Amino acid sequence: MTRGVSTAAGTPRPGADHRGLLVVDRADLVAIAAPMVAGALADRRRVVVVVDRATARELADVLADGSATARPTLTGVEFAPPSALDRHGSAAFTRSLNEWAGSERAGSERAGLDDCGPDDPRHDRTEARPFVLTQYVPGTPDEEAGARAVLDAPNGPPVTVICACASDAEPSVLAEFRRGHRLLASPGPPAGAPALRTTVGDTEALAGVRREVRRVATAAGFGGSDLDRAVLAVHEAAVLGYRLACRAADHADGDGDAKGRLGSPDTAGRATGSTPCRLEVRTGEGRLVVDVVVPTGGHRPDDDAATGSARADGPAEPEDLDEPPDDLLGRVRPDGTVDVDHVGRFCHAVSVHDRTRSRAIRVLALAAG
Amino acid sequence: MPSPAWEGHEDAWRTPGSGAHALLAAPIEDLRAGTASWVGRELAAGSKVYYKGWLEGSTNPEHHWIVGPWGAPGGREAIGSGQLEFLDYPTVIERCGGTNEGLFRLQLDEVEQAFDEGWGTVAMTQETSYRPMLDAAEATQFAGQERAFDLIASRWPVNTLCQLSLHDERDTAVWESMAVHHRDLQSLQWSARILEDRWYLSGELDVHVAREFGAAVHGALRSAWRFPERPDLEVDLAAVSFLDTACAQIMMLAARSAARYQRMILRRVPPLVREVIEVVGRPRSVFYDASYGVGLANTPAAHVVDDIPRSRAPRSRRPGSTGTGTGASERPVRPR
Repeated sequence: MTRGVSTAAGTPRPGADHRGLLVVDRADLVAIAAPMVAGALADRRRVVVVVDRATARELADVLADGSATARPTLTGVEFAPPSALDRHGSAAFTRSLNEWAGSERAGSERAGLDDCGPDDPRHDRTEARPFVLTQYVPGTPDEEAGARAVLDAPNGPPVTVICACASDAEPSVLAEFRRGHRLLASPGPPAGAPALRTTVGDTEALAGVRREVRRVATAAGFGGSDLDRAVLAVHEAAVLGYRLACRAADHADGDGDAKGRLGSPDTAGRATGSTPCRLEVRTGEGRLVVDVVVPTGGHRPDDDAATGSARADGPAEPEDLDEPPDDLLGRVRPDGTVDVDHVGRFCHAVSVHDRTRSRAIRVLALAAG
Repeated sequence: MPSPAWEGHEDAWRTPGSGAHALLAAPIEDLRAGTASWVGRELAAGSKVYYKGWLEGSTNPEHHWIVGPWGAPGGREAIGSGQLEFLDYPTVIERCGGTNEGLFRLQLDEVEQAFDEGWGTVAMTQETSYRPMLDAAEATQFAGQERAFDLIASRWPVNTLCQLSLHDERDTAVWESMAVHHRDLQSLQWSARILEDRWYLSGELDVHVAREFGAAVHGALRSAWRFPERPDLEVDLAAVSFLDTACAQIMMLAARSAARYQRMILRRVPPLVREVIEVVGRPRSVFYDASYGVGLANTPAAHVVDDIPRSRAPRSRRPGSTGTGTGASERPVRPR
């Protein structure tokens, strides 16, 4: 079974878990959403899909190999029309979310986790909260603000909401979408065993990792600039993973100073005393999904730093070319957070997922054509 | 183990009629392999080779690895015939008195001796020296020694190869070595060379080599600044097959910290390399070459340079050069 998206930290958070997702077209949305929905169903979560009729039909076909009616219910999946959420911040908007979040089923699932041991894999997910997948409908500035007020409030509805937006939307729409969706979810990996498993124990290993990723991506149909960009994105994610591993080792040794600074921790570039981060590379036709998994030993960052971005629409205008950047790219901040925006410039999507004993940086690259 | 980056390009080190001064930086195993190959080629080309290094566990140069089974081709025969001469470092220090001037005299004596013996060209190589490099004074002394090799190479057909064992030397020693040798250096993943006043980079520049690369960039900027009529550093990136944000940041930070009014002009920049540079942020002192216009559509016009003259009056950039010929008939003159 394809694993669904893993969202947020294992510790339940109040309010909504609100993420964004950029997709190329309907087929891409269905391809990405199907494993997410399947994973949520497998986790016995309530699933609500708020999409147009054509998308609903395609998704239902993929999930159940059957046709969908106007408002089908498919083995626990509830399809709702976009009108259920199209007026951001309105009373109807809030009512829909509260209805989905406040079901008896969701409540029983949350109660069931209290009986699970600390190592139960279900703690790696949000506490079985309802899963809502919707297509982003841009609203007025007031409506957008209203939606954020509901979804980002600490006492908001306890529900996971994934909003999908077309990656070729108007720049202003994309900009607003990114403003309102700080966290981007990435899809579950293609089914099957990883095409490549490797580790990064020191920076010297990165050249070899790049060669292997290039080989695997080429076999998956990547070529030209897409291939180079994918390799670069995976490399940047691996560097972050390596630095996080160094930091985890520091904390395990009782040294709170982050060693994940620019350059190598020591002359030979070895993360002394750390467990290597591992890479798992999965491919599908024209798709590359790489998980850089960092054992954290239970140590968590001070804040959920999962940020993600898709490829930029164009080069950003620098505010001041002379001023040095406030923070060097690729650093692990003292609070343990990382920024992956620079990785996202070279791939379709990137995100950070915190689990009980590990942290994963996921890179999704799509080949053109 | 992948082949060293310099394989297939060794002939570039040997420019007929003039000398060269290069650095080979690698882990010890690759360093020895590259050095053995270099010495073998110099021997095959008929050079007198002077080798300075460490004798480990022996006082007999014939036990040194360079003439052993994994050493230079023809090395054992050469040390027997006198074409290859070995000097261990303690002896070097004793003979030169531990001073730069004394070392320079020693090197000039060796060059003169080689010409007296009838050799047409000379090759000098020295192993990694394990300098502590604890302070600026030592770094200055080291730079002075290296400048002597530049001077010798500019005046006589002498090729010099400095060896640097990356994993065994202190970080400061690596930094200073890379900075001083920015004109011609070879590392496993990347290389750099000055040709016609342009600094050519090649290979893969990633976080693993970021520190040494940063040193080389600083060295190149410092060196360019010594010529006030044209202080800009022109960097050719056409052969850079990979650049990550770590090395891009290193380069841009070096440009920010360069002297005022000194520009860094990037030439023949591959599109993805340019994108990485834009992601990390490019200061106003860094420009792109307009003649390589692929993908420059979104670059502000002020950062595209098309007024760099294509040809300039020949001018030696190496210190001490008289430009009066460097043939073997010109004998070294002892300094007073």
